[in-house]
Amino acid sequence: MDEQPATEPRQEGERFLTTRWSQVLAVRSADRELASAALRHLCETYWPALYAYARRKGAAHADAEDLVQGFFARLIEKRDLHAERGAERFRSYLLGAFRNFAANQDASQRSVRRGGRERVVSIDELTASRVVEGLAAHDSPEQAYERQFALGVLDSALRRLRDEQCAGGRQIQFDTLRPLLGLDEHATSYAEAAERLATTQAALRVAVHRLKRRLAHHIRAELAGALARPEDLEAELLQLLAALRR
Amino acid sequence: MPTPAAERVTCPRCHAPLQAPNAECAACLLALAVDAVDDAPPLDDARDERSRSAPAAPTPEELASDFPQLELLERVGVGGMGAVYRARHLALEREVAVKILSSALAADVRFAERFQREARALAKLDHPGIVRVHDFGRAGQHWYLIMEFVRGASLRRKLASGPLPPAEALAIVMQLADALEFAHARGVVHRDLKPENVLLDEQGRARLADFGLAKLLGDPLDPGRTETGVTLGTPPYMAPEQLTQPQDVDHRADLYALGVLFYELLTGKWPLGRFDLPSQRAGVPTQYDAAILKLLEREPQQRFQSAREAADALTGLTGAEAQVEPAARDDDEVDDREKGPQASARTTPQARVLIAAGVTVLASFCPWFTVNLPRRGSTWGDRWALHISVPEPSIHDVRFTVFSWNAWTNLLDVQWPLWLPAVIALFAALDSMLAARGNWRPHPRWCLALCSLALALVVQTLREADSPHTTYGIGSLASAGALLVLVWHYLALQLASWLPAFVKVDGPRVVRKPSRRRTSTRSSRTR
Repeated sequence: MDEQPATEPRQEGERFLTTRWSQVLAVRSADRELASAALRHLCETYWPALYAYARRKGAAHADAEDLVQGFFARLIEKRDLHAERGAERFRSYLLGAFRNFAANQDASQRSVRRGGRERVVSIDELTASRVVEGLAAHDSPEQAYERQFALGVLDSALRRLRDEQCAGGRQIQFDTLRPLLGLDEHATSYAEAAERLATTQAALRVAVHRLKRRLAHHIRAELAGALARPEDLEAELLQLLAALRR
Repeated sequence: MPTPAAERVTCPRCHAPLQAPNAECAACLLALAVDAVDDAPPLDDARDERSRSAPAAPTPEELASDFPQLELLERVGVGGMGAVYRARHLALEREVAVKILSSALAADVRFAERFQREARALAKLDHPGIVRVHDFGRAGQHWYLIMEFVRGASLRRKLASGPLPPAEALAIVMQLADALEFAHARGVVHRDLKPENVLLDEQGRARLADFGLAKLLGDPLDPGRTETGVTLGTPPYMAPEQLTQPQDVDHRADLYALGVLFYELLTGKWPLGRFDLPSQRAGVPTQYDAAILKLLEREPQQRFQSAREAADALTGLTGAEAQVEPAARDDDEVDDREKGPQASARTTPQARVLIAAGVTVLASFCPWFTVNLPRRGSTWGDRWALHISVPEPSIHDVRFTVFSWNAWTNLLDVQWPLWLPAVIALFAALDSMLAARGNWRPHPRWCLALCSLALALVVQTLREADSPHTTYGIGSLASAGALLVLVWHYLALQLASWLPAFVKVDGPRVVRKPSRRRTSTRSSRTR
């Protein structure tokens, strides 16, 4: 995640913040379009997690891609996918539903559909190969899924942060400060960045600190959208953190 | 034979695996959000967005009319249970923290009861390690709790930048044990001890907050509040009995959580499933392992029985820490297992191999012991009798024994099934003792060596050899043994990780599967 892909502001992503995934799935026809857009945002963010899971399960690229596409198409069109009971987190729901979907999917049916079905999310080769590179040899499929899910949350939060900063006319500042977000306050890169932005290191520290707080906010907002109950947020965050540190 | 873990590139701060040597650490970025105070977004649209997504928490202005005795300054945090505000108490003229129960939850009778319980439990406690409660009650539509305002950050925030140095972790855990002892003596169990609930004030002192789940032991009005089956707590820190018999939970559950917290402070990880010992992962002295494992015992009666007992054991560790301290301060970023400064202070594998090799070289130059082992005897006694002759020491003998082709071929050809494992067993035992330095217990390496020795004895017994006697020097055997110790090190470590039979010997394999047995709380109630 060295660079942020230049994407246009995501309207549906912003709108999704008004609701939670459980409401998205339960929504009726009046808000169907809005809910579909929100669901699409979830698909775009979390497909690498499902893809990683499928690959770790032993599927080849094409099969994994077909499974993920088929799953999302079904999810968006019909919204009738059910996970195990008690899945109150989107993370658990998504994996449970995907497992069920994959189990019910006949192999021959899949091969007939290959190439002919609708592409719901754009599974680009670059991201897919990055996902495969990121698979640790000792990870179970579930662990690979969790790790990619955590990266999805972070990725989405970083995108939101960038969109927010661009909208405020601080694109150059953001792009310069972006590499500093993961560093300590006393890293040498601060001097370079200060020079580039013609400001003092102290001012830069304040700016990076504020960016970090905004990033924290976006991470929490993204995660809150993927939970049925707000009180689960901290526990979910810790779990994802543990997945990344495993 | 490097282990896979050694090949992985890890973040120098939090030890999370990285994709590439200089890649950004996603865990460090995600950790920014842990326990973050979600406040004051710089942009208006973001503020709007937050108000829509966050649970409805009143602004200080909205609360002002309900709290005439306070000047509410700012909201400092929003959590599952409600919001916390910084305020100035006008009569007391001091800063206080005000906790307001979430209005959505205030309607829930059970939740309001839980809130009141928290307040009552906390109001009983006056200890420097515990955040004080000044007042509590209901104002307008809000249940509130007025507490001491602690300037500083939570332990979770501190942990976000990686594990703590052992001395610092120990100091914090000892302060917490002290605070827990005080609360337990008053019949209050925290039941949700975790880094989020530990605040570090400006002096670096640990303060225990949020006795939100505390169960008042011995309160006749509160007979097993959780009997309805509601399990309260945070999973990684919950003792096994908290999951299986929440109604039987006593103060020893807090000691379990303290163990998890201690482990996390030292290693940055939770002790889940099969976990490494802190001495393996964080390079702390092995005495730490014993204390932490005792805190993490699955059965409450196997743990320390009181916070005092735990505190005493932890005090014993301060001495161990002092031995490590001077070296530990130099560099805290290198991989602890390979070249950790703490490890070097307590004999690294390399140092142990060097010591073993040194002993071997010395043994090689003592060639005047020659062992004659009869290969074939008529009786069992003859077959296993050791005939040790002491020849005249001479330069010729030295050369002969150390470099003799005969000695080596004898060793490799006929005698190795017996003698090689024997020498390896000796070296492995020596090595284990050096590694443990006084705190010795059977190491898997040692056990494996003994097993291979036993196997070799069997093989040798069944074996027939042609020559009646075989002569070889102890020095040659020792040299061969030393050469194999290095290989043995890695081989034994690998084997130990494969063989489940050695799980118990190795110590750290604690499986957190809740036990079915009911645990008694009677003894603790009288304590």
